[in-house]
Amino acid sequence: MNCSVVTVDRLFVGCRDRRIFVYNKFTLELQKTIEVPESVHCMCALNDFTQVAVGMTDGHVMVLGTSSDQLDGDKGAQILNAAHLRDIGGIWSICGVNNDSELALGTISGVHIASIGIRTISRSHEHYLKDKNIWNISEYDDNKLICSRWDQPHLYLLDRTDP
Amino acid sequence: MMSPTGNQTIDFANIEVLTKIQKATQDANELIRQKYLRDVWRFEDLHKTDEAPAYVHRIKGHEVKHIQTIGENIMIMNNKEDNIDVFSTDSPNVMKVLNIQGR
Repeated sequence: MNCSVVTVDRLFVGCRDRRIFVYNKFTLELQKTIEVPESVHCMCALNDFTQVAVGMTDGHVMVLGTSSDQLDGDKGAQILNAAHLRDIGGIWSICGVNNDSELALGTISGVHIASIGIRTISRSHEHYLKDKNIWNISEYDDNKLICSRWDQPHLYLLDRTDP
Repeated sequence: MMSPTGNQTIDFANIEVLTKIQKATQDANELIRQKYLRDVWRFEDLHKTDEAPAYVHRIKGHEVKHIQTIGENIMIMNNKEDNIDVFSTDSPNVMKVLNIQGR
């Protein structure tokens, strides 16, 4: 496994071989296996630990959760939003920002911001630390992000309101 | 405006004065906020070199690629077959193995 995240009732495990395994958090019973387009590198919980954002190789990104039209027998999660943000490259880290209406993506080409739509995920114009390989990213405060690079032992504080 | 005692008072009915007060309050709040952020943005090394971590799983010779905790008592970790070992946090013994097909 490359990564995992725990929600209110489930454990999500992201794997390098294009699979996400979904377990019941309390019984550790396998509920579902989800096939995804690329290797899963990172995950984060969204919306009070009810949904999961997933970052993959080559800019694939998606949000998993339960939906109202889910089949009765389907105890696992569904793909609620998905996008292939082609130009940003591999996504190594991901976090929800701005009350989880957006995603901050730490990628091989810098920090990108994407907004979560009804079914899609759209990349915005915001692009920080261009061409830097971002290894970790997290929301630090309103409109502030903290991130690290793969090649340097520093932490960077980004202010999205700073022109 | 001067008070009967000679001290300067603030005319709260004056929109211009109120606007200045509001702006000064915003500036003060921003200063406090920036000071707070500066204080938060300070790292302290909490590791005591002469003490071992309180809770340790000593699994020698094993490459740990990923770990996660589930609540306070359960920890999961990749095993040598790239499946998942489930531990209780107070024991090094494997409680269960989750088969993710070596992925």
